[in-house]
Amino acid sequence: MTQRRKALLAFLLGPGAGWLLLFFLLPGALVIVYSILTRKDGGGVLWIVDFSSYVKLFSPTDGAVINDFMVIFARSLWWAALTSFVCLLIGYPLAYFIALQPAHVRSTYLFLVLIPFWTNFLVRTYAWKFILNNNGLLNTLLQDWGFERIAIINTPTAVLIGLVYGSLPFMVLPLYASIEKLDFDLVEAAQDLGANYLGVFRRIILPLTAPGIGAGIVLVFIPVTGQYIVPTILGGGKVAMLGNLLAQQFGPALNWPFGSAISVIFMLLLMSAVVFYLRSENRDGEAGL
Amino acid sequence: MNERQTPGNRFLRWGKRLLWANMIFSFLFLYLPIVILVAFSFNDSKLGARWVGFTTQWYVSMAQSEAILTAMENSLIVAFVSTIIATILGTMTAMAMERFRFPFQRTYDGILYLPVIIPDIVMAVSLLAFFSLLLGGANDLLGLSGNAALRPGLVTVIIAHVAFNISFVAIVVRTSLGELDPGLEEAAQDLGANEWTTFRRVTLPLIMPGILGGALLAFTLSLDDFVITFFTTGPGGTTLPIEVFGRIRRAISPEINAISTVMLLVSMILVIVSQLVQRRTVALSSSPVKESQ
Amino acid sequence: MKIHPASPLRLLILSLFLILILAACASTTSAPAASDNESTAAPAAPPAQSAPATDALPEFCGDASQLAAELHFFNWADYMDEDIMAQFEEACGVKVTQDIYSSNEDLIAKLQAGNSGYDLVIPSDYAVQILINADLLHPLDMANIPNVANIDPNLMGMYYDPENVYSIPYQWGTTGIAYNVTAYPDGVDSWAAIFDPAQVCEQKGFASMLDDERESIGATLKYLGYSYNDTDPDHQAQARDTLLAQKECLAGYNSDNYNQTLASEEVMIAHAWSGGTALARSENENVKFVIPKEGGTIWMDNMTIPADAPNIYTAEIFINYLLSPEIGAQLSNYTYYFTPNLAAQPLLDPDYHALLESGGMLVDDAVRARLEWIKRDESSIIFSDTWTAVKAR
Repeated sequence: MTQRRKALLAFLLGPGAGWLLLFFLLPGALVIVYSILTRKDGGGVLWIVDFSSYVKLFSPTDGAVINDFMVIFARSLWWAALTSFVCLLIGYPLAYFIALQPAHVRSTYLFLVLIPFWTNFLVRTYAWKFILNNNGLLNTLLQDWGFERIAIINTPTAVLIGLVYGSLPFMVLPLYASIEKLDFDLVEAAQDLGANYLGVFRRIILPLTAPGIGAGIVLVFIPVTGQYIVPTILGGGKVAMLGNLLAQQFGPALNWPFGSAISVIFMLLLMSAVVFYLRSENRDGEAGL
Repeated sequence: MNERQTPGNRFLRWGKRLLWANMIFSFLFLYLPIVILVAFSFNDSKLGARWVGFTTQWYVSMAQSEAILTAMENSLIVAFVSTIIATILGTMTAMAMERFRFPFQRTYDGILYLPVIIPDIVMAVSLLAFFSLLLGGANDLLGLSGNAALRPGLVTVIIAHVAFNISFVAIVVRTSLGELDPGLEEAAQDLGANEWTTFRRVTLPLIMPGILGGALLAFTLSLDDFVITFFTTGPGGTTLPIEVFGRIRRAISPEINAISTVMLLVSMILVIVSQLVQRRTVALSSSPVKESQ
Repeated sequence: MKIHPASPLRLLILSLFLILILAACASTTSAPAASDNESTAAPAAPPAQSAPATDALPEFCGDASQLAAELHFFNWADYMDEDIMAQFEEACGVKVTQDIYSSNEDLIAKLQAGNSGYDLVIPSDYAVQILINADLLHPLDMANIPNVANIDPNLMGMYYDPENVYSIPYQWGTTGIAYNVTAYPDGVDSWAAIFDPAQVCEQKGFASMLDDERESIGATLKYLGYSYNDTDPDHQAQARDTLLAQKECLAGYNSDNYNQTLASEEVMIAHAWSGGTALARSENENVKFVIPKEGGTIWMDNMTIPADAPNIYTAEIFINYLLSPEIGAQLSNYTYYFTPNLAAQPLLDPDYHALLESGGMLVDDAVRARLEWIKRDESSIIFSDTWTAVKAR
C-alpha cells in the first residue's frame, strides 16, 4: 500500500475506531472483568477474583442439568429466530415493492415505514395492548358484532405480534439497500432466456440479495434476544427472556458479577454465530458482483 | 416485455398482485396502533376502549408541562447530533472496510458487530461505571467540585448513542457498498480523478440510499433508547422515553398519546418537505433516470 | 445517467433546520430548563450562589445568602406535584428540576457511580440501609428542618435508620390484594383467593401479581405461614411451587399499570400497592383493597441527601418546606399514598380520605400488627433464584 493510501485508511478508520475503543471496548472490558469479581452486597463489585458466577451459570437448578438460565437462553434464541423469520416473510416483499417504485417515490415509502417508529416504543407497545386487551379495541368490536372475546393478550401470539412490529424496519432497511442495487437487466435477460419467475427469483434475485437478508437477520435476531419490554407488556411477564434476566441481575438481585457473566457467555454465543455468518459471506461475496 | 401468456408471465402478474397486497397489509399493520394512538389522544376519557368525546385538553396540558417539553427537546437534540456523528463515522468505517485490506481486518469486522450484539443493559451499566471513573478523575485533576463539577448529562448520552450507532450505520452502508461495482471507481480514477473526487461524484451518490438508510436507523434507535440513556444521563437530561416510562406507571393518560402524536407530526412534516425537495430536484434535471435504478 | 447527489443531503440539512427551529420554540417556553441541559457537562456551569437579594423572602425559605440557584431532585415517577416545585421556586427563587427513576436499584447504581449531581433522592426503606452502609448519604442537619416534628412518631426510628440521622419519611404505603366487588361480593380476606388454584382459576386470565420478586415471593411465603423475609431453601422451594401452580391462571405479572387494569376491569383481583389501588378506585368505585389475614407489607419512601450533593443547605430547606402541613397535604392529595405528616392529615382532601376509608386502605392498629417490612441482607439472593425459576418454567 502506498503512503497515501495508508494515510487515507488511517483517516477513514481512525475516528470510528477511536470512538469505539474508548467508549465501547473499554467499558465492555470492564464488564468482562466484573464477571470474575465478587458480588458486593448492595450492588457493585469487590475487587476479589471469584469464578462462582460462571459456576452458577452452568450449575443445575433443582437437580435439572438444563438449568433455568439455559432454558431462558434457549427461549430467547427461539423467539429471535421466529421473529426474524416472520419479519423476513413480510419485509422482503415490502422492500422489493419499494425498490420497484420510481426513484423519487422510494424514499417516501421508506420514511413511511419508519415514521411509526419515531413514536415511543413503550407507547406503541401499550397501543397494541390497548388493541389486544380482553376489554380492548378488538374484543370490544367483536362483542359489538355478536362474537365471543378472543384471549390474545398475555399469550405467545401477542408477544410475536409485538416483536415483529418492533423489528420490521430493521429488516426492511438493509433488504432495501440490497435489492435497490439489483440490476434488473439481469432479471430481464433471464426471462428472455426462458426462465419462469420462480426460477429467476431462486437463482438470480435471492443470491444477489443475500447480503441484505443476512444483514436484516442480524439486525433483527440480535436485539430481539435481549428484548424484555414486549414479553412483559404483551405477554404478561409470565415468560422470562434474556433481557428480563439481565435486568433482574443488575437490578433487584444487585448481582453485577453474575449479570456480567451471563452477558459474556451470551455475547460469546452470538459472536460465534456472527463469525460464522461473516466467514460464509466472504466466500460467496465475490460471486454476487 | 411481451404479453405472451407464458407460465412466467402469469407468475409475474400474480407476483405483482402479491407484492401490492403485502405492501397494503404491511402498512395497515404498521399504522394500526398509530391511528389508535392519535385517535385516542383526542378522547375525552382517561381509559377504556370506548370513544367518549372529542377534546384537545391533553394537548393543552402537555404543552404546559415543562417536564414533557424539556424531554422532547432533549430527545431531539440527542438524536440529531448523535445521528450526524454516527453516520459520518459509520460511513467512513464502511469505506475503510470495503475498499481497503489491512491486517486484523477480520477481527475488527467482528468487533464492529459487538455494539449490535451487546444487550442494552450491559452497555448501560458499563458506560455508567466508565463515565464515573472518567469524570471523577477529570474533576480531581482539574480540582472541580460542587456545581462546577463535570457531570453526566446530554453530552455523555450523545457519546453513548454514537458508540452503538456507528456499527448499525456501518452494517447498512456496507451492504450498499458491497454491491457497488468497484469498476466504476477504478474507471473514474483512471480518468484522472483523485480519491475525494471519485468518492464525491461516483461512490457517494450510489451509496446514498445505504447512507440514508443507516442514518434513519440511527435516528430511530437514538430516539427510542431508554436503558442506555437512563444510565448515562444526569440532572436535567431526561429524554422522552424516560419521561414516558415514568408516567406510564401511573396512568396511560392520553397526554402520552398527545406527545406521541406531536412527534409523529414532526416526522410527517419532514417527509413532506423531503418530498418537495426531491420533486424539485427531479424536475430540474433534464436527463432521464433509469426506471428501476 | 444523471444522479441527484445533493437532494438527500439537502433533505437532511432542511430537516435539521426544521427540528432546530422547533426545538428553539420549545426552549423559549422552557428556557431555564434549556440552560440546564446545555451546560450539564461543561466545566463553566452557573455559579452556586446568585440567590435573590431581596429580604422579602418568606421565612420557610431560610437564609437567602446560603440558598443555591437550583435544586436537583431525583424521584419516582408521579411522586411529586409539579405545582409544589413551582410554588417553591416562586417563593424562594430556587429552580427545582426533577428527574425520574423507576426502581431503587437504578437509584443505588447512579449514586454508587458517584458524582450524580442530585441534591435530594427518595429511596425506599431497604435502599436507605444499603446507601447508609455504602456511605452514600449525607447526615441531615435537623436545625434546618424544624418541621420534622410534624412526622408521626410511630413512623420515625425505623429499622433502617433508627436515629433518623440520614432520612425523613416522605410517603408510605402497604401491599395487599386489590379486588373488584362485582367478582367478589363477599370480599376477600385471605391470600388463598389468589394463591389457591381452585380459587384463582375462577378468574382465569383476570388475575395479576406484582412483578416484584420480594413482594410476590414474600406474599407466597406469608400465605404458607412464613415470614416475608424467609430465606430457608425448603420454604423458598414451597413458595416457588405455589407460584408455579398459580401461574397458569394468571393474566400476568404487572407492577406498572395494575391500577389501569383494575379500573378498566381487565383484571378482577390483583396483588397491589395501596396507592395504585386508590388511584384505581378513584376511577372505578368497584375496586377495593384488603390486607389479608395472613399479613401484608408496609413500606416507606424517605427523603435523603446524597453524600456528594452540591446544594445541601437548599435541599434541607426544601425538605422542611415539604414537611409543612399544607404542602404535606398537597403532596398526598396528588400521589394518593399515605402521608407520614400528622399535621397534614386534617388538611387532606376529604373525598380522598373517604375513598381510602371506603376502599379498605386505611391502616388501624389491628392491620398494622400484621404488616411486615421487607428487609435485605446477603442471603436475600435466594429470592432472585426462586424468581428466575418461577419465570423460566
